[in-house]
Amino acid sequence: MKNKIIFLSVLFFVLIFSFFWTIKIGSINIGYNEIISNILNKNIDGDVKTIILEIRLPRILLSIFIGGLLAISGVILQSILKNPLADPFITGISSGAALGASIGIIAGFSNITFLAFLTSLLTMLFVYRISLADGKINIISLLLIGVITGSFLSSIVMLLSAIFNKDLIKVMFWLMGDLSSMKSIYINITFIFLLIVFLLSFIFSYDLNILSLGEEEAKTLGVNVEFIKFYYFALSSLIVAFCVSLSGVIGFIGLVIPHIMRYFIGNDARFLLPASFLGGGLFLLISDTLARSLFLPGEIPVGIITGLIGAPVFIFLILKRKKI
Amino acid sequence: MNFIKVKNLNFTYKNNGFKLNNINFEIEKGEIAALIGPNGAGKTTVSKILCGIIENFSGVIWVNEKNIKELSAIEKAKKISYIPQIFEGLFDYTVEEIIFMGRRPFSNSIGFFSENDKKIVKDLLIKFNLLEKKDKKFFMLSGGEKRIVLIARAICQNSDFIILDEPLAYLDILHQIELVNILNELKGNGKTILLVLHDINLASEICDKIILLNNGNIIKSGKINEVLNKNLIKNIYKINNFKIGKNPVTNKTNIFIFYKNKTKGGKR
Repeated sequence: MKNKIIFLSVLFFVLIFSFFWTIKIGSINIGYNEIISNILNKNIDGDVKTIILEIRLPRILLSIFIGGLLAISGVILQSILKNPLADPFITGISSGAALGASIGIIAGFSNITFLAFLTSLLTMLFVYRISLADGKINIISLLLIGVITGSFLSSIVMLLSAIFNKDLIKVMFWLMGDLSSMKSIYINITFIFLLIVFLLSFIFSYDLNILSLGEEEAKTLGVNVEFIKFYYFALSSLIVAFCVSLSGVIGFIGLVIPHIMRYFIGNDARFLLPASFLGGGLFLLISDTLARSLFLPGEIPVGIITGLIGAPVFIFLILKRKKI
Repeated sequence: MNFIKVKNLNFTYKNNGFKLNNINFEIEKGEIAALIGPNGAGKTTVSKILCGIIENFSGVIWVNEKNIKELSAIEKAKKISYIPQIFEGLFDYTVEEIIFMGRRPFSNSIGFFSENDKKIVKDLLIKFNLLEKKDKKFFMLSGGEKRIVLIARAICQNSDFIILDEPLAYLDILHQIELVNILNELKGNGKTILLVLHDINLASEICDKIILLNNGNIIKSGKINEVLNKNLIKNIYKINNFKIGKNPVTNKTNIFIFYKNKTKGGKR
């Protein structure tokens, strides 16, 4: 218990430190003195202020929020699906968002977020409805239908981008996860969403622990299994729909971060959820900073970086665990 | 009224059509009863219905004069605890975390435990010599230790009715004896216990009552001597090479099986 709280505190301070460190980094390096004087002084309306407040700060904050949210949905889905390979995209909801986003891009909409959110919710309802048997969610069906729906929708996205190939690059960049279009107007709504979702994920967190023992055992320990499954499926789907609509498909965080945190803090969701939030936020923050600063003046989609770092770290952890 | 009363229980599995036909039996308070029968007789199904895992059955089950269909999941968990044969958890928890889960019916969905909950868990850790192992991962324990942790969790539920599916499977003799002692102690504390067993002799040695199932029907239930007769065993298990006799030490009725050596003249 004590160790877990210490671990969470350390993670929190590393995240805060990284926040201040990454705000300096970019195509022009800005010192802390300059940052502070620019932000505090209301009268100055310079480029530095614009870069900090309108470009870097939204991007940094949103990468923390989205990384954390994706990791939380990973923890939830791994527990309710009883599958260590589950990630936020396994239920096909992200492909639903991808379809909406590509239609939006091809149709030339200036903002594709709403359309992506709508199509991902429709996909969620479809997958949920099909996997119901006798009014109960069948977990195996949910997994299979999720994966199959996902690849079907991805094929449609591919078809669309093959037909309308002038938008191919845009669609591809979106599919690989992209935080470059983060605006300051998203910060408030994402922060409120995050607070609500985090609280909601916490309310039944102990039942989530018990559910991961298996549905039958959970029932005999007094858990309302069908309700908890539905509750967390709906919650994780909302998280995925929200994140993917904002930032595209950023892979590996939802799969890898929960496992890394399980390694350090154990499987108790009451600690694993906050730890994964902090870890996911930190991981996406660092990945995005690399994505926007490695190939200056250009940048690469952050999904590439998360995959390049995430996979080796994960394999390293598995190898290390084998020795124990 | 009897502590456990099962009346006109019927249930059909949708996927394979297996049926339980009109199951009726009773168990007195403080008794140890055993469900026995060949593979596929319906023992585990009956036990899963009794502990609330399977809910869409017809008929009535009373536990301490309460119809279990009218109880919520939490109320059921306070009255009935279940110890599965195989632990199917995916993620590993520590011994202490697993035992605490038995206090879920008295706690809440966030798992804030009272001082009383903590004391109950600590006392059980001491009682079962698990204090040093409380931070050990459950998956790292031996088969016998795992079973004892799950029993400790069931005791945490403070229910008066405990169902155990094959509690002695995969255990060595030492752990078997230890487990039977625990069961007898629970019985001594007024708990009613139902075991799902393959070992007829074990049922004879430790149980007050035997319920014999075959093909989803109750063939007979009652005292050991009433149920264990040669023709019945022969017909149900379809075996010939056995004798019914007495255990020379405990004087309980036992079945002695002898294996015919098929390779005549072989050294084995």
